[in-house]
Amino acid sequence: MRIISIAFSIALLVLISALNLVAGEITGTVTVKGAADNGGAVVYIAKNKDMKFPAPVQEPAMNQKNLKFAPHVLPVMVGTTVKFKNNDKVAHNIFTPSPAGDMFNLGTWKGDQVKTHTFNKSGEVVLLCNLHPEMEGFIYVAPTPYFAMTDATGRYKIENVPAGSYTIKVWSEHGNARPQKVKIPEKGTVTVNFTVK
Amino acid sequence: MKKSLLLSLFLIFGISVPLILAQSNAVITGRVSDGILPIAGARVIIQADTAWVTTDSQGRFRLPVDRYRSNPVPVMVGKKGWFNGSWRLEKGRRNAELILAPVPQGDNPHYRWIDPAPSSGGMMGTMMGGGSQTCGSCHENYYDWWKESSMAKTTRNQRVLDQYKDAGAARKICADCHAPAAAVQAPGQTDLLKVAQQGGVETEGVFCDFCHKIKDVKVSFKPGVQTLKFSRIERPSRRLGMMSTRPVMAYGSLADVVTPPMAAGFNPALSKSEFCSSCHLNGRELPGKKTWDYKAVYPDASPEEFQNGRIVPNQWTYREWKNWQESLAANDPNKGQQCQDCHMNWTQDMLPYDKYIVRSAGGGMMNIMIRRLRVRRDPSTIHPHKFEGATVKRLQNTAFLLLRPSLQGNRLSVMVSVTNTNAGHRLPTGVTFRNMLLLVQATDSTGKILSQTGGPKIPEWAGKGSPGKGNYAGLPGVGYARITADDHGNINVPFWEATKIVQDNRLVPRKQDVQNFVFNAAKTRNYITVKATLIYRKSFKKMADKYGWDTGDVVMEKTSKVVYK
Ligand code: HEC
Ligand code: HEC
Ligand code: HEC
Ligand code: HEC
Ligand code: HEC
Ligand SMILES: [Cu+2]
Repeated sequence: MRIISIAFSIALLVLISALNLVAGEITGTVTVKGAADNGGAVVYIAKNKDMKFPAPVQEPAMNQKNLKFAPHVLPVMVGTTVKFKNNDKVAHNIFTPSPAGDMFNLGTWKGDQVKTHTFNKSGEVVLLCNLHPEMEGFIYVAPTPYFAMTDATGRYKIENVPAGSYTIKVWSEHGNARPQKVKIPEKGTVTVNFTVK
Repeated sequence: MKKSLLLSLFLIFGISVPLILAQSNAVITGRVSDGILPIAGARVIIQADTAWVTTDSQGRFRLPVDRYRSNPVPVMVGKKGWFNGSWRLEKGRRNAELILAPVPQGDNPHYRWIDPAPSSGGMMGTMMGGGSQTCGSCHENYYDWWKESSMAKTTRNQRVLDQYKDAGAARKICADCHAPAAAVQAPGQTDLLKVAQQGGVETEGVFCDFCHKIKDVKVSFKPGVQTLKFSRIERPSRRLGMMSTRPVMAYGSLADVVTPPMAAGFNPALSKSEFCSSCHLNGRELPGKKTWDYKAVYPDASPEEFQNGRIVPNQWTYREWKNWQESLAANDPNKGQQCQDCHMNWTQDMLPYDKYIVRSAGGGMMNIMIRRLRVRRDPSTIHPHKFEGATVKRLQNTAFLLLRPSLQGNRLSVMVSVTNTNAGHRLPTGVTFRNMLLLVQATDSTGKILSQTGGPKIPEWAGKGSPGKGNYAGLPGVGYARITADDHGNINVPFWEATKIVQDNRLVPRKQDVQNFVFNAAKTRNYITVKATLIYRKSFKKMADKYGWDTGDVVMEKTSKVVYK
C-alpha cells in the first residue's frame, strides 16, 4: 500500500517535472565565516504566490547517538513528517523552543520507539535535549521543495527548478547571508554564491 | 509467531536450545525477612538488570526470569535501612527465604572519614585492612569526574574565602555546607578558614564518603549538615580469599551491589532532589519576629515557601526546582526530573560509555582484582559524578534567543524573547549574586549604532563606565537577577545582611520572557544589523571590582538578524 502510494507520487512528480520540462539548476558556494567548515548551510528558494508543488512523501529520520543528534542539520520541506529515533544507550528528551516546530516536546525515551512530528511551518527548528544540554541539532523547514544543503566545502546544487524569477535565501546556524534574486532560464545552470556572517 | 520463528532458527542453525525454554514458569518466588518478620517494599532485582519487582506487605515477591539467563540466577535485594543481600537461586525455585541484615542504628561521632583520592599504597594498602581503602583506588572514573567538579573544591574556592572574611558573625554557618565533613562535629560553629588550612580529608570539600554516609535529609532552610542524618559505621575486617579486608559501608542507589569490600545499603533517597536540598536550600531567618513582603516579589508563592515572610531566601535552587515541578501537569514530559538527572549525567567528553562502576589504572594485582569484581551495567544506571553547573559548555546551551526586528518607516522595533530551555530551576540560580545580561544592539551598514527610543535599559548594577571594561549599565537590554536589599536602602547586600528581596526576574524554566525595543532608524540607508547577546556573570560588577574577581562573563547565546530598507 505504502509502496504503491510512494510509487504513485514519484510518478506524479515525474509528470509534473515533465510538464515543466523547462527547468534549470542552481549551484554555487556558500562561505560560512567563523565556522569550522562551510557545511550545513541550507540554500532554498523562497515561496512566491504562484508556486505550486505536491506535498512531501518522504519521512526522513533524525537520530540520536553518543549524545549527539545525527544528522546535525536536517533540511526538509514544509509539511514533512520527521521520524525521531534514539539509537543511544541512554535516554534522551527531545524538544524545541522554536515556533516553527510548534515548541514540541516528545518526552524522554530510550530504545526502539520511534516518535514523529509534522513540520507545517517553515523556518529554523532547534532540537534540544533536556537531559544533555550540550546536545543541539537543527531541522530547517524550507518553504518549497527547492532546497539543498552545502557540503563541507560549501557547495550546493538545487535541481529541477522551473524557469522563472525567484529569491534565494540561505539559512545557517552561524549567521545570515543576504538573499539574492535570480532568473532561472528554461535550461541551464545559474551560479549563485553567498557569504554567511 | 515469534516463538516458532526462534525455534525454527534454533533447529536450522543447530543452536542448542536452553533447557529453560521448555519450562513455562521461568519465575522465582520467595519472601524477604529479617529472619522473623517480613520486609515489605524491598527491591528485588537480578544483578545489573534495569527492571525489578517489589515485595508485598508479606515480604513476598514473584520475579520473572529471562529464559536465556544462566542458572542459578544472581538475585539481589535492597531496602533502605538494610544491607543489600544476594542469593544465587535456581530458576523455577519457589518459597526462597531471603534474610537481610539491618544497618546498625545510630551514628558514630568518632568516625574517621575515608579519603576519596586513590591510595598510593596501591593494592596492598587497600586490601590489607590497614585503613587506606580509599574510594578512588577502585572507583577511578568516579574520582576523576568528581575531582574536576566544584564539589571537590568547596573549602578552597577563593571567592568563598574572600567573602567569608567579611561575613562577621554569619561566618559560623559557612562550613556547614562548604566544609561539611568538619562542620558535622560542630554544626553552626566551624571555622571554614581553619578547615581550609589544616589539611586532611575534611578539606576535600563534599567528598564520596560524606555523601554516601547520608541516611536522611530533612528539607529545611537550615544550612547543610544541620539537615542531615548519618550512618557513619565501621565494619570489622573480613577475610576475602587470601586477604583480609575492611568493609566500606556506603549508601547507594543500587540494590544489586554486594561485592566486597562494599557493605552497601540501598537508599532511594540518593536519587531524589531532596538529597541535594541539604546544601542547595538555605534562607536567613529574620531576627526578632520581623517579616518581609514576599508577595510583592513572588505573588504566586505559598505562605509556606518563605514561612510567611520570616525567611529571606539565599540558596533557593531546590525550591525553584520544586515550584517548577509542581507547576507541571501530571503528563508533562519533564515531570519527575530530579537534580541528579541533569547534574549526574553523561557528557560527550566521557564517551565511550564505561559500563562499570569500578575501574583502576593501578598496576598488576589491583587491576586483576577489580576486573573480577566489576559487573557490566547499563549506562543509564550509572550516574557520572561531574556535578557540572554553570560551566561554559552548559551555559552555552541553556538559553534560547529569538529575535524579530521589523522596520516601519524610521522606526525599528525589535522583539526579543529569552527562554530558559535547559535548567530545572531559575536561570541563573545559586548564590544571590549570579546575574545575566541581555544586550540588544542595532547598527547600520556603516557600523553606526542606532539610538534607542523605547524599551528597557540595562540596570546600574551591571556597572557604570566604559562598556569596554564590562560596564553595560544604560545600554539597551535587560538585567536578570535576584536583588537583595537591607533596611537602609542598599541593594545587592550579602545574604546574611539581606532583610528582603526587592526584585527577581530570573527566568523560570521553559517560560519565555518577551521584551520589546525601539530604535531610531531615520538616517540609515541600505540595511540594519540587529544583534542580541545573552551574557552570564558570576557576580555583580561592583562586587567583582571590590574583591578583584573576574566577572567570569560567558556569552551564552548570540543571534543576529539583518533588515533591509
Ligand atoms: C554530593 C554527594 C556525592 C558525592 C560527593 C559522591 N556521590 Fe556517589 N552518589 C551520589 C548520589 C546522589 C548517587 C545516586 C545518583 C542517582 O541515583 O541518581 C550516587 C551514586 C553512586 C554510585 C552508584 C552508581 C551510580 O552511579 O548511581 C557509586 C558507585 C558512587 N556514587 C560512588 C561515588 C564515589 C566513588 C565518589 C567519590 C569519588 C562519590 N560517589 C561521591 C552522591 C554523591
Ligand atoms: C577495593 C575496591 C573498592 C573500594 C576501596 C571502594 N569501593 Fe565502592 N564498590 C566497589 C565494587 C566492586 C562495587 C560494586 C561494583 C558493581 O557491582 O558494579 C562498589 C560499589 C559502590 C557503590 C554502589 C552501592 C550501591 O548500593 O549503590 C557505592 C555507593 C560505592 N561503591 C561507594 C564507595 C565509597 C564512597 C568508597 C570509599 C569510601 C568506596 N566505594 C570504596 C569497590 C570498591
Ligand atoms: C532539567 C535539568 C536540570 C535540573 C532538573 C536541575 N538542574 Fe541545575 N542546572 C541545569 C543547567 C542546564 C545549569 C546551567 C545553567 C545555569 O547556571 O542555570 C544548571 C546550573 C545549576 C547550578 C549552578 C548555578 C550557578 O550559576 O552557579 C547549580 C548550583 C544547580 N544547577 C543545582 C541544581 C539542583 C540542586 C537541582 C535540584 C534541586 C538542579 N540543579 C536541577 C539543569 C538542571
Ligand atoms: C553537603 C553539601 C552539599 C550537598 C549535599 C550537595 N551540594 Fe552541590 N554544592 C555544594 C557547595 C558548597 C557547592 C559550591 C562549591 C563552590 O563553588 O565552591 C556546590 C556546587 C554544586 C554545583 C556546581 C555549581 C556551579 O557553580 O557550577 C552543582 C551543579 C551542584 N552542587 C549540584 C548538586 C547536586 C545535584 C546535589 C545532589 C545530588 C548536590 N549538589 C548536593 C554543596 C552541596
Ligand atoms: C546551605 C548551604 C550553604 C551555606 C550555609 C553557605 N553556602 Fe555558600 N554556597 C552554597 C552552594 C550550594 C553554593 C553553590 C551555588 C552556586 O554556585 O551558585 C555556594 C556558593 C558560594 C559562593 C560562590 C562561589 C563562586 O565560585 O562563585 C560564595 C562566594 C559563597 N558560597 C560564600 C559563602 C559564605 C561566605 C557563606 C557563609 C556566610 C556561605 N557561602 C554559606 C551553599 C552554602
Ligand atoms: Cu540527551
